Amino acid sequence: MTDLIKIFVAAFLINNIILMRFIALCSYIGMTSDVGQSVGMGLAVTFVTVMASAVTWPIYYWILKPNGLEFLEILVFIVVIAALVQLVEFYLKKSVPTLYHAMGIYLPLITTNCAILAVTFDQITFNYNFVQSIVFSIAVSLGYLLAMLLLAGVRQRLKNSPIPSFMMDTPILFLTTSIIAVAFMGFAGLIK
Amino acid sequence: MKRWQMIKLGLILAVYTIVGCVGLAFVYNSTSKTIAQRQEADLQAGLHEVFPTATGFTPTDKVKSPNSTIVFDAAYTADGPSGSLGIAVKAHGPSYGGPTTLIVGVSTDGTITGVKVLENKDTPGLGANAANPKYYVDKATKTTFPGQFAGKKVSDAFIVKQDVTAITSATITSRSITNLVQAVAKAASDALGTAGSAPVPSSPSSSAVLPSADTVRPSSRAATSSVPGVSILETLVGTKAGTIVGASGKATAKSYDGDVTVLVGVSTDGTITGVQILECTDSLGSPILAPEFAQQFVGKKAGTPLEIGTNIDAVSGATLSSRGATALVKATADALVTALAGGGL
Amino acid sequence: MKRLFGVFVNGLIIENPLFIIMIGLCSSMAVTTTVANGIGMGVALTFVLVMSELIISLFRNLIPESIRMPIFLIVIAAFTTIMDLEMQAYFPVLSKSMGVFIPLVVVNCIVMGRVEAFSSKQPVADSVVDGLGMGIGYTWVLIALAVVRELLGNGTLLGFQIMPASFSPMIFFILPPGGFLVFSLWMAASNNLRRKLLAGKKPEPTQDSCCTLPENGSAEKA
Repeated sequence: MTDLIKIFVAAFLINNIILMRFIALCSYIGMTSDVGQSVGMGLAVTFVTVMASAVTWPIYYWILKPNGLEFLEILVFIVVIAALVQLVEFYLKKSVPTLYHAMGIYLPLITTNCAILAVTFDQITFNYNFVQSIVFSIAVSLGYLLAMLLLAGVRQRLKNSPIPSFMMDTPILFLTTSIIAVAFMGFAGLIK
Repeated sequence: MKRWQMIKLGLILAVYTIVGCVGLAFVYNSTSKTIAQRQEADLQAGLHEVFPTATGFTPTDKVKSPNSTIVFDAAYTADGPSGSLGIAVKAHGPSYGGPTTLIVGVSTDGTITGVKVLENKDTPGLGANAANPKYYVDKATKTTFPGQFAGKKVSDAFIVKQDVTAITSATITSRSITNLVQAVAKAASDALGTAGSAPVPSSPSSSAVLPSADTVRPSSRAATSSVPGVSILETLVGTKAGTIVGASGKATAKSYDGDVTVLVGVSTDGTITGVQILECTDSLGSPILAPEFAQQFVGKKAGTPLEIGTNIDAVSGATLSSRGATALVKATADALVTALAGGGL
Repeated sequence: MKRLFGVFVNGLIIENPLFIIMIGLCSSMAVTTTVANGIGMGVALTFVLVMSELIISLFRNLIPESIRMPIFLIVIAAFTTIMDLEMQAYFPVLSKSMGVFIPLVVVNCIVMGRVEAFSSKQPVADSVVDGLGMGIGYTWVLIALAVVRELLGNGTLLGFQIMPASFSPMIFFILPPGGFLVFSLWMAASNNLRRKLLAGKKPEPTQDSCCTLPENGSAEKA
């Protein structure tokens, strides 16, 4: 149990996927101009990441590895994720229209979201077992959601703040991120 | 009609996929040999680095991993001209950013002959320095982080910041590699049948901070500091031929976000004769454990101001910890001078 | 010839993938703790980009519109894997220090974005030049970031000691917050230079579709 908690805290805060590992920055900058949008994107990513993790783990350990096909990892994982996103989109559209309206518009953006693919590679690199992989994927995607939410919150304020003209637009967002990241450095002491 | 369209698209997709996979298989076939050769060469180089005098290495299965997180990839007995020299183990275990792979050599007398980090995925420039042959934890002797384990006894404590120098700002990496080395070395020495005695915690030698004393005994009266927050844990008196030449004190206080513990020696004329920073639990505070920092205090007079930036240089990256340690050294030295002046030690 | 030169400069400066279109950001900050890593990543991405653009442009008439995305993904993934394997074989140190960011090239929006927007519609020569321009445009930004970070954070350049011994490295610049800061300042500098050079002449380039929602917020065609 403690190892699961450690994995969770490390992936959620200490190695926060956006603020500490620079993964999924595109959507971090592109999708945080509105708090609602950032939450929607964050939840959609969480949903797909956990599913992708649960699907790719058995594929790697039951199909690729026993047959010596580890070199197809990148190709298989990206195709599986793309197919998964398509299936989720079809399913939501047909069966859960309300959820589709809340989350569906983000799905096409998710295929190329680095966070999901990074999680599926990392769980292999770190030799996680299935349960650890699931906990890891939940923690990473919640960390993604948290970082998105933090920047979206700050951006609401930035809209009405006097910003020096040379820092306008994106530079000020990265400057803000730098400061948030400094705060996240403090979490490093959580795990001895 | 529509169904035919679907099948056609599916077939096109299948063709692209098959061509892609077959192409990859060819590339994989040609590179996998090079990759395997390179890994083998790395392994041989690593084995010879930890056992430079060995004439050959024979695989052995005597060494067993103590737990599931540390995986032993391979173990070899190092063959010398006159019998076995020891065991080298290639193992990997978890670190900050992924598994770290290393080779540990243990000689038949239970001494680590060398450690070579083959692979480390931690932060470049910080934790990844564990595998950097040009990163020195001790610049004076050009000792790398894994290099410092050579010559260590398997029975040593293996505690980062005490008997192991950490990589600057990479405490977690330092700790995980240290644990990995210790676990591997223990298992190897168990297999060799040279399991050392129980680990003896390395106690700070008070005589080191009182170089002029020939004997050091506990003080009959403990020194106390008037500075709030400073607690003096232990007071010792150094004597030479029966006369008191100085006193030393081990003291602890809050620093930046953790505690710092120091050992200070003061001679009877109020000169600081030696300082050791024993422990600093500040985040990023480990650099102040470097002997160079403590050395600055030697020769300074207790009672005079000791300040970072004026007469004491802070350790870069750990200014606040340096400041905390300096204040504690000064408080301890002052308390010792007062105690010495009061007599009856 | 002049046209090809225009395509090349476009990627290099005018539509620089990192500073202007703002895609492929992840790897730009993660690997730029040292100049060597920055160059390695730049070359790796340029390889994948040029090869993918070349192949897709060659076969652009044989790729049905409705399944173009999966095919692009397969082509890009194949070249990423080739690059990954070659690096493991011939540049093992570099390959190890970049870790997960090598396989992540497959979802680097620069590759997907250029393949989709450019080479699936343009002739082979233009596509290759576009790949080179974008790749080098990406690489020079990585080097610019890495020079600042390695020099200030470690006192070295390409591993050689540059700063005098009395200089104490500012570890901050190697840590993640330093990456964000350096990128922010470089971007501010580049934006201002561009604003001055192009004062009023050029419209803002369009945001790439793989990171943001289309204007009307519908998901029908992303």
